[in-house]
Amino acid sequence: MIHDAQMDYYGTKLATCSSDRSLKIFDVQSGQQTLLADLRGHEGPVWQVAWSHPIYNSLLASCGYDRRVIIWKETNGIWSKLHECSNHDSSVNSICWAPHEFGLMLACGSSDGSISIVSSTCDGTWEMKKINNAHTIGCNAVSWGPAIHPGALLEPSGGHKTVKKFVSGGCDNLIKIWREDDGQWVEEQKLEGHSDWVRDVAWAPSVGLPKSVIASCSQDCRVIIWMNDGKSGSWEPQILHKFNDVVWHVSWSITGNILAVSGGDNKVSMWKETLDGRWVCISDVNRGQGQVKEALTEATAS
Amino acid sequence: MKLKEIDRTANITWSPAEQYPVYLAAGTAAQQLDATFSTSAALEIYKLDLSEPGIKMRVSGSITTDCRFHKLVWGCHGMEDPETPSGYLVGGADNGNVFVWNPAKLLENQADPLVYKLSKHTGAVAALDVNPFQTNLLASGGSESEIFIWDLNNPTTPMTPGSKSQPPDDVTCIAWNRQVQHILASTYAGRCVVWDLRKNEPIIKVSDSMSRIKCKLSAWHPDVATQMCLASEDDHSPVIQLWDLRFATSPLKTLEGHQRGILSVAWCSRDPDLLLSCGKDNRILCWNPNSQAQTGEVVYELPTSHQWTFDVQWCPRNPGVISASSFDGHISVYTLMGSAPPQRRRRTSSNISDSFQNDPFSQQSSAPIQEEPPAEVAVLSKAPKWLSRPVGASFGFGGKLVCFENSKPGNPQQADERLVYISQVVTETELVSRSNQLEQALSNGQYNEFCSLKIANSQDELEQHIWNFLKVHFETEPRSKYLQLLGFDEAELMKKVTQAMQCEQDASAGVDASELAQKMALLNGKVCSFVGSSLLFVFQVSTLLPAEAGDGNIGNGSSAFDQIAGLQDYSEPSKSPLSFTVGEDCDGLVTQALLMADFQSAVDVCLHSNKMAEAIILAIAGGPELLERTQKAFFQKNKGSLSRIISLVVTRDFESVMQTCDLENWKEALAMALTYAKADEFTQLCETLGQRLEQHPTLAANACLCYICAGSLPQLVTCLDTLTQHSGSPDTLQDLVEKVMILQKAVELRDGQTQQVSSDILAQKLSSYAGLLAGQGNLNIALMYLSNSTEMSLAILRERLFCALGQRATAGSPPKPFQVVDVQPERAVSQQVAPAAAPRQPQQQRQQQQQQRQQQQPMSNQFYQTQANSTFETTTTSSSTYYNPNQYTGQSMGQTAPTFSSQQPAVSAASYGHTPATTSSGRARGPLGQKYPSYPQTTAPYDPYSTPYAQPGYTPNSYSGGQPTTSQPAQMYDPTSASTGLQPMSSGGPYAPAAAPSGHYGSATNGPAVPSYQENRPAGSWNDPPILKEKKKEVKYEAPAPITQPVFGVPTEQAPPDMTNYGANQMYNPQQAYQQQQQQQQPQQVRVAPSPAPPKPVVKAPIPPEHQVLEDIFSKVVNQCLHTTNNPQIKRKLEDVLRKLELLYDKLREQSLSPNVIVGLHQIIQAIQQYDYQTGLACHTQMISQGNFSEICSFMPGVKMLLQTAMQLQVYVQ
Repeated sequence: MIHDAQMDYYGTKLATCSSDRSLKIFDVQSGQQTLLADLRGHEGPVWQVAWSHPIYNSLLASCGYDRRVIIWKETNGIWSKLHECSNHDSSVNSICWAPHEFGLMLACGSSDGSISIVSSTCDGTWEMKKINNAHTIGCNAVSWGPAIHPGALLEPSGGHKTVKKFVSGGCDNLIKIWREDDGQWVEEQKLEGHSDWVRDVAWAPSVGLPKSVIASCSQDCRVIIWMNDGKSGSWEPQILHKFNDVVWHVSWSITGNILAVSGGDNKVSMWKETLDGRWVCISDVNRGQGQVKEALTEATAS
Repeated sequence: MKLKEIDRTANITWSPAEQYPVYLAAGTAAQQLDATFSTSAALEIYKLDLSEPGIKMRVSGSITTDCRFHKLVWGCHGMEDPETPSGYLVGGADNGNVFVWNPAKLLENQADPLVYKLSKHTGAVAALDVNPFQTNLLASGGSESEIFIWDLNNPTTPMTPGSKSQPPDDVTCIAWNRQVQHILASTYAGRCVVWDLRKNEPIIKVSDSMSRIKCKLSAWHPDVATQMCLASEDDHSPVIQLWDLRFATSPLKTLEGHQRGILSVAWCSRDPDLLLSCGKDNRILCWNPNSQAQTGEVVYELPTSHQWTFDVQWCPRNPGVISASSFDGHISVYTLMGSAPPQRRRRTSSNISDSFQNDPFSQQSSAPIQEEPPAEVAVLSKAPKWLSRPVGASFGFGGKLVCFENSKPGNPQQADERLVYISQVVTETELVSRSNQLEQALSNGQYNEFCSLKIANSQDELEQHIWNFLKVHFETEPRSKYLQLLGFDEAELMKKVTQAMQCEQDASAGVDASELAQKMALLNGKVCSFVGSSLLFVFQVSTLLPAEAGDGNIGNGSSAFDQIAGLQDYSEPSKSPLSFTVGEDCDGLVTQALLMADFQSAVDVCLHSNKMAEAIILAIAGGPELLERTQKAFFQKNKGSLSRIISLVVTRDFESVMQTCDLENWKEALAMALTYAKADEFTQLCETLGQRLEQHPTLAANACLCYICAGSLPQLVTCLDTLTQHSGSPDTLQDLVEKVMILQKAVELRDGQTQQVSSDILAQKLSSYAGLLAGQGNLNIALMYLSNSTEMSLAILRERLFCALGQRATAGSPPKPFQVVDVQPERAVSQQVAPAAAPRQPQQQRQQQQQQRQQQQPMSNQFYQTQANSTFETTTTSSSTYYNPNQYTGQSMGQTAPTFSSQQPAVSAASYGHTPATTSSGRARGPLGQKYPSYPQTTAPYDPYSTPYAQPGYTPNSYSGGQPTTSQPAQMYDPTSASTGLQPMSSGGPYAPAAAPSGHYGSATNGPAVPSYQENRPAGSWNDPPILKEKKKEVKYEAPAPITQPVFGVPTEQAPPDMTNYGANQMYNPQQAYQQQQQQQQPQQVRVAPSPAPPKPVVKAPIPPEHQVLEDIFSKVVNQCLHTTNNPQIKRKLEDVLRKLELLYDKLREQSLSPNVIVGLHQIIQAIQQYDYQTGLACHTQMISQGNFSEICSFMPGVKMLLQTAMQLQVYVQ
C-alpha cells in the first residue's frame, strides 16, 4: 500500500513509500519511468517522503511507523543512508524540509505528540530540538511557512527578518503555528476549527503578497483555508468544502494558487480562489481519464 | 499511555462517532460495590478534552438514578432532530428496565432527560446494542433468554427475533452484524445464536463441539459479514475463537493469550486488524485476529493495574483511544499510540485492597499465574489503519500532479493495486492557447499579423489603440503612421488647408469685388514698396558683409529670403525712386541703423514700435543670435497659444512642451515629438510625456501609447501594471506579456539588438508568466521567456525548467543559481576535527567526490576536467564552512567560535596571521580571498565552485553570511557583516547575487601584469554559461606576476564597493586556509613559493572537418563585427555570441546534432557567404520552428544575434 508519492524539485524524479517498508525512486522524465532505487531501512510502514532542495543535492527524507526518520543521499547513483534519527517514541507521521534558506532543517511530527526539528550543519553533525506534547495523542502533519517574508514583493526594501515558522496538525483537532524565538520553538497560534483529527496541513507557497494561507484537512471531512492578512495575528478560517469522506491530504501547486484535495473516497479535486475570494472547485481528477497522461506502475514489491 | 481517569465503578459507553465533542457516559455498575458501600446510583456524562492538561475528566452532566446498570449504549439516532442533537443514551438496568435518555438535556442539566422507560424484561438487562444501519433499532437482552427489538421511534411494542432460545438463560451479549442489518448475534452462557430478523428465527448456533468454551461475549468482524469472534469467560479455556459462519463447524483460529477468563472484547471498527480483550488475569491485550499466527498475535499490551478490567471499548470517534473499566473503581482512557513505556505501575488507587488485606478481586497475592508481561511493547506493533494514508495527490513542478490511491479492502485477499498516476494539470486552457498563439507569432516573425489579429479582437478602445500603436512599429515610416493614428494626417491636413483657403475666398467673394481689389492694391502697394525696398537693401547688405554675418548663416538667411520672396511672389520690386528718411521717427532711426549695418539697433527700434515683421526680417539678416533674441521678444509680446507653439517649435524646446503642455492635448504634444524630435531625444520626450500622463486621473492609460512610441519597455510594463486591476490574474498577465513581447521585438528590430530584461517589475512579470506557463506544463515555452534575462528570480526558474526538461546533459544549460552544499555523512566528523585533514584526503576519495560532483552537475564537465588536471583540488569538506550552525541554534557566536577554532586550528591560524591587515581597516570584513589573493596556490578562480558557481552564485545568505564567523575569531569582524548575511536579502529574493568578485581578483592583486580577468567576464555574468575559453585560461594562469612580497596588507579599498555587501558570500576554502597556515609557519618559503604548474587546458576533440566551415565562418563574422564596431554594448553581445557558439562547436565535436539541424546550419553559412543575412535569418526561423528546441536552444539565439549584428553592421564575409 502506497502512502506517499512525491516529485523532486525539478519534477524529474519520483519517490514513493509503502507499507512494505520500502521506498522507491523512479526517474519519470519525459514520460518514461525507470526504477532507480529500492531503499530498505525502515522496519515498518513508511508514511511519508520528502525531497530537499537541490542546494543540498536533493536529499530524500522518509519517516515511518518504526519511529524513525531516515535521510538518504545519492552518491554516484547509489542511494545510502546519510542520517537516521530515532528520537520519537511512536510512529513518525509527517516530515517536511524547511525552506532551504533556513539551512538544512527537517520537521517531524509523531504520534507520541511531539514534534522534532532536526538540523544539520552539513558537515555530518546533526542537532535535534523537540517540542514535547505539541499535540495530545499525536501530530499528523507538519508544513513549513515560506522563507520569503510575506509581502516582500510590495515592500522590497523592508529589512524584515524572516522568522522560521511551521504549522502542525494533530489528533487534538488543533492546528498550531510554531515560531522559532531565540533558538526556542514556541507556540504562536492555536487554530480551532476542526472537530476531528487534523489529517494534513499545508502552508501555501508565498506569492509575494502580504497574506499567508494555510490549508488544513481533517477526519471531519472538511477542508479549511486559514488566512492571515499579514497585519494582525489572527487567522481567518474559511471552510472550503465539506466532503463525503475523510480528507487525507492537501497539496498546493508550486505557484500556490491551486489546492489539490485528496479524500478517502479516492477522489481528488482541485480548488482555486476566485478574484472575489471564494474557493471554487475547478476539476475532479479521475483516475485514468482526461488529464491523466502518464500512468506509472510501481513494480511489485518483494 | 493513560490519558484520563474517572474514579467510578461504572459501566460506560462512548458517545457515537458522529457526536462532537467526545463524551463518555458512566452509569453506576450493578452487582458491584465500592469501598464506601454506597448504594446510590447515578448516570454521569464526562467530556473527553485532550487539550486540557491533567488526568481528571470533567462531569458535563449527571442525574441520580434509582437503579444501577449492567450496560449502556449511546446511539446516534435522532441526531438530526433538534430535540435530540446528541442522539439517545440507553441503559439496561438491574431492575429489568431499559431507560432511554436524551443526553443533550443531560448535558445542559435540563429537567426530564428521560425519554422512555421500557419495562418489558423480567430480569436485569445485561445486553444492549444499536443497529448500525437502522439506528432506531435497539436490541436488548435480559434474563430468561428474553430478546427484544425496540424501535426508538415507537417503542411501545417491541419485536422478538424469534422464539426464545432454549434452555432459558441470561443473555450476556447481543450484537448486530456490522455488514448485514438484519442479522443479530446473541450469547447465552456457553452458546451463541445468530438470528435473521427477516425470517424471525435463529439461523445458526455457533458452538464448538471439540472444546468446551463458555462463550460469554461475541463481536462481529467490522468488515467481513460472516466472521465473528466469541470470547470465553471460563478460566479453563480463556480463549477467543474466531469463526466464519460459512464454515461453522470449527473456529478459524483461536487466540490464546489470556490466563484467565475473558471479561470483554472489542473489535475496532476503524481497523479490523485490532481486537481488544481484557480478562481476569488483569491483562488488556490487543490482538491482530487476521494475522497468520494460529494462536493469534498480540500487537499490544496495555500497562494495567492489578485489578480486573471488566470492560474495554474503542472510542468510536478517536481511533487509538480506548476506555478500560476496572473493578478497583477506575475508568481509564488510554491511547494505544502513546509514548510512555509500559510499566507495571503501582496501583494508582487501592481503595478496596487498602480496606481488605485479602482482596477478593485482586490476583495480587493469590494468583499463581501472575507473571510479568512479555517484551514491553510501547506502541502497537502493527501500524493501525487510521495512520496509513490511503490516497494522496501532491503537486510537482510543472503542474504535474502525482496521485496514488489504494483499492478499498473489499477483499482482503486481493493484492493491493500499486499505481501512481502522474497527470498534467491544465487549469488555464485559455492562457495556454493564447500563449501558443503568441509564441508562434514570435517565432515566425508574424508580428504584423498578430497585431492585426489583436486589433480585430480587442474589446475596448484603449486596447485597440495600444495594438494599433504596436503594429506601427513593424511598418515603414512609423512616425508618420503614428501621426495618422493620433489624427494628424498629411493628406487630411492638405485637404483642410485647401478647404480653409477656399472658404476665405468664398467669404471675400461676398464683398464688393472692386472695392476689395482696390484696398488690396493699396495695401499691397504699401507693403510691397517697403518690403521690396528693404529686400533689395538687405540683399546688398548681406552680400556686402559676408564675413561679419558668419559664413553659414548668410546662406541660410538668403535662402530664407528667397523663400519669403518666392512666397510673396513679388517679382517686381517698386520702381519708385528710393528715398532714405533719416528723421528721428522710427523709420528714420531704422534707416540710419541700417545704413550703419547696426541690425541690432534697427531691430530694437522695430520691436519698440511693434513692427514685428520688420524686426524679424532684419534679425534674419543680423545673424542667428539676433534672430533668436528677436524671436524671443516676439514671443514675449505675443502670448497667444499659437505663438507659444510656434515659439516652442522654433526654439526646439520640446522638452518643455512635454513638461508643460495641457495633458488634454497630449496627442498634440506627442505629435510634435513625432514630427520634430530627433531619434536620440525622441524616447526621452515620449517618456516625459508618459510620466506626466500616468499621474493624470483619467488620461493615465494614454501613457502606454507614449511608451509604445518610445519603445520604452520597462515603463510600459509599469504603466500597464498599474492600469490593470487584477494584475495577478493569468489573463491580464497574458495581455501584458503579449504587448511586452511584441514591443520588445519591435525595439529589437529597430535597434538591431536584443534588449536585456533589466527592470524589476518586468522581470517579475515575466517570471510569474513563465511560472504560470510552467505550472500548466508548458515548460518549453516558459523557458523561452526567460532566455535573455539576468534577473535572479528568472534564473532560478530557468535552471529549474532546464533541468525539468531533462536538458541537464546538454551543454549550455544555465549554471545552478545556487551553490550546492554537499552534506557530509556522519563519519566525516572525525575528519573535520583533525586539523587540516581535509586537504590531505586520499586521492581516491577526492576523485570520488569529484565524480560525485560531476554526477550532480554534468553540464559543467569542462570545469571538472580542468580541475582534474590541476594540481590542487577543493575538498568537499569545505562545505561545513558554508554554513554556520550558530545561526540555527541561536547560540551566541562567542560560545561556539572558540570551539570551532580549536577544531580547526588551520583556519584560525590563517586568519590570525592576517589580523593586522584586517583590523587596521574598518572595512576589513571583505572576503578571505580578497585578503590573500596573491598566493598562487589559492588563486580563487581555480576553485570550480567559486568560479562558475560560488562567486556568481547566490548562496542562501543564512549560512554564507555566517561563514566568516566560523573561520575567524569573532572580534575580527564587524558584527554588521554577520548580521547582514543573516538578513534575508529581500530585494534579491532568497539568493543574494554576488557581484562576480572573481573579476576583481586578477585586477586587484596581480595588477596589470596579468591580463585583466574582468574583461573576460562581463559584470553580472554569473548566469551566463561558463566561459570556457582555453586560451584565456592559459594566459591567465601562466602569467601570474612573480610575487615578491606578501600582500597581506592589500588595501581593502581596492575591493569594489559592491563587494562589501556580498563579501560574506565568499566561499571559504579550507585548503586555502591550510596553505595559509603552512605559509604562516614557514614564511620564508612562502615568499619564494613558486607558482604551481598551470593546469593544462582540456584539449577538445577537433570539429569534424566537414563542419569546420561552420566554425570558420562564424568566427570570421564575429571578428569582422568586433573590428567594425566600437559600441561596447555590441561588443558585449558578441562575446555572448561567442560563448553560445562555443556550445555549438561542442555539439559538433560530440556529433550530437541531428542531420536537419546540421543542414540548417550549413544553409545559414551559405547565406552568410552570399551576404544574404535575410535568408540566414529565415533559415534560423525555420530551424526554430522545426522543433528540436532542446537540441538547439543553447546556441541558436547566438546565431541569430550574430546574423542580426552582422546585418546591422553590414559586415561582409567571403
